[in-house]
Amino acid sequence: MSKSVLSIQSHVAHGYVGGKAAIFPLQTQGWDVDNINTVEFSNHTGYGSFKGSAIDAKNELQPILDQLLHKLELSYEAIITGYIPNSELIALISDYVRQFKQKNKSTLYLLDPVMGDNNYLYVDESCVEQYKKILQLDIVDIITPNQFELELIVGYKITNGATLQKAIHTLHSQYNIKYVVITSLGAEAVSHQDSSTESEKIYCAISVQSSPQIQLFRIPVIKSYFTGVGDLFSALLLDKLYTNLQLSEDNSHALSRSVSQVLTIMSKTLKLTHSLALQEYNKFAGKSSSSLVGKINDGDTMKFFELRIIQARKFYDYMDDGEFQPTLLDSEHI
Amino acid sequence: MSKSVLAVSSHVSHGYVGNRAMVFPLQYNGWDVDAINTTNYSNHPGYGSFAGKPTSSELVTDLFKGLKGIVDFNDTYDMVITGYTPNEEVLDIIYQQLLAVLNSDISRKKPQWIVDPVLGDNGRLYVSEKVIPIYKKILSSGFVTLITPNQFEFEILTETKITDWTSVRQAFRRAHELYKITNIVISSVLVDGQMFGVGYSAKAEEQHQIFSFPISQIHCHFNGCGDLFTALVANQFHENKYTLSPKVLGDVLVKLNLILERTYNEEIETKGVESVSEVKSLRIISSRDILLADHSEDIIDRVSYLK
Repeated sequence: MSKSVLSIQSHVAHGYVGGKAAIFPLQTQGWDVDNINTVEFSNHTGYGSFKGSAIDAKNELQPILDQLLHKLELSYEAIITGYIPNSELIALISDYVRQFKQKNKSTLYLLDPVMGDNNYLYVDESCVEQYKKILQLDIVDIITPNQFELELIVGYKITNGATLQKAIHTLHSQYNIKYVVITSLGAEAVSHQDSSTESEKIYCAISVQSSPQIQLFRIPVIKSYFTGVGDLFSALLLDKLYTNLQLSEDNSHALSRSVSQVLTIMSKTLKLTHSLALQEYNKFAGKSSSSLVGKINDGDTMKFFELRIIQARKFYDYMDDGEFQPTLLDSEHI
Repeated sequence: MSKSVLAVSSHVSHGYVGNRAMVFPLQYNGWDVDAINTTNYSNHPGYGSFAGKPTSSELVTDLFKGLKGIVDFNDTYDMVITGYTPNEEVLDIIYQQLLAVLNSDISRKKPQWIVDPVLGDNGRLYVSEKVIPIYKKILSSGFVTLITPNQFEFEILTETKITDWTSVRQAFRRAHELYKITNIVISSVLVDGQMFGVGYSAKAEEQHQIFSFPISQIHCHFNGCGDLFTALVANQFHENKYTLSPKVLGDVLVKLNLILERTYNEEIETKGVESVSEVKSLRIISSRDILLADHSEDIIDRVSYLK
């Protein structure tokens, strides 16, 4: 049975971020992916130089969305949105997602509120307010912010388990979001202390609206710089959650199983990326090094750090239990 | 070993034509595909209406410039495939940009340039005729190693009307005189009421062969069929060390036919009808298993050589 998804995110001619990181993995799992490119760039901005432009809201994007929704009368099993460069486009896209969902109530909408990472905002500040407005439309089923993006949405820092729980509770209760996945959290965010003693550890926190308990996955840290990781994560999560929700009545179990599967695939993909990058870098640099740390804004080394989305194809259909066991966010600590 | 291709063709949000029909089949066969989109449309015009815009000349130029800033075309790309362009200006930019960057030294590594000269079909142009002289210029550049026109396009480019095998041979001779292109595939040629897939390969100047396979025709129009065909040919062309052969063409024709059959069957099933005369969207995703198998053995004994 064919299934279709509308993907709205960036396009780069070279490399794997945005749609280039999300679309192929979804297609390999049988999704017909309709895609709208929010930008057309030569490459991602981490290279230090790039060319291209964003889509025009009124003259280009709106007519395309109108055509898909009203003329072709398309309906999707799922919608996924990622990097959107400005608030005008965010407002327009959210209005059309609302209309698509009105037409087909079972459409699963995954919002990745791409705004920044590690306390660095890489969209205009007006985007933050616009994303908060989307949340009030009651259309988001799955949200996948990182810690910084979560902090921007709720308006305060996540400094410990208590603030994390409060923030996730806000997403469930105030915005009616069924599935919350915080894709990366520092160790302090899951501890009872405010100080960071375990800076080498990163966590992924998940929660479903119908069950109050937050589950944590510890993620291995690979010490090099890859872009597009979040985009691949969201695409894989959408595929696995959609599939697992059809297999299980238990939403909480479906989400936790999906995230464990996604983390397993991500881990395999990153390991492959790292080993191929190292091979090619050594060939390029004419030496044999066993460590590799990417430098942002360095065009010469950045090209070795592209995710190996194509070569990782064999990993995407993984449907076993996953290699990651969740633990409960310790309530004693809160 | 990784393999990399630059694909320059149209983008549509819905349906499978242009880059949307080429990129996934190539990726599924292990290609890293860099894609420059010459249009940003909601869907192809065959639906009766569409929205969006052709990519501006400025943006196409910018995307090439941006790419040149980060990759060495000659080192990075094994192949460059150019397909649909919305107008002569954009086609000329693509030509100029590629010409400026490809190694002119024949002994040095450079990508195979594969051109699908998209002009029209069944006696009807669907681009401006101003595009024709630019395609002639591109084909004469010495950089193009394979072209994949349909019969109508090949007739225009060789100024030879094809009606029988004599005129087929004549058209290839003309193509050689005009462009010196070493590999040519014509996706479908109608001779005496029968469709054929025809290939031409010239390993050396005067040493060429022409071969053909009869095609079991499905009486239905499939949008995007030519773009998918070009992607499949490009992949097999690479597999066969950049030489067109009956095995290459045979494999592609079998794959294409299987995908069209599956598309057709899904279409009538979805619509609940007994037959259709047009399918607007190829079922490329649900046909992905077909993309990987080697099918040349199924057809190779049906090859004919044209003396």
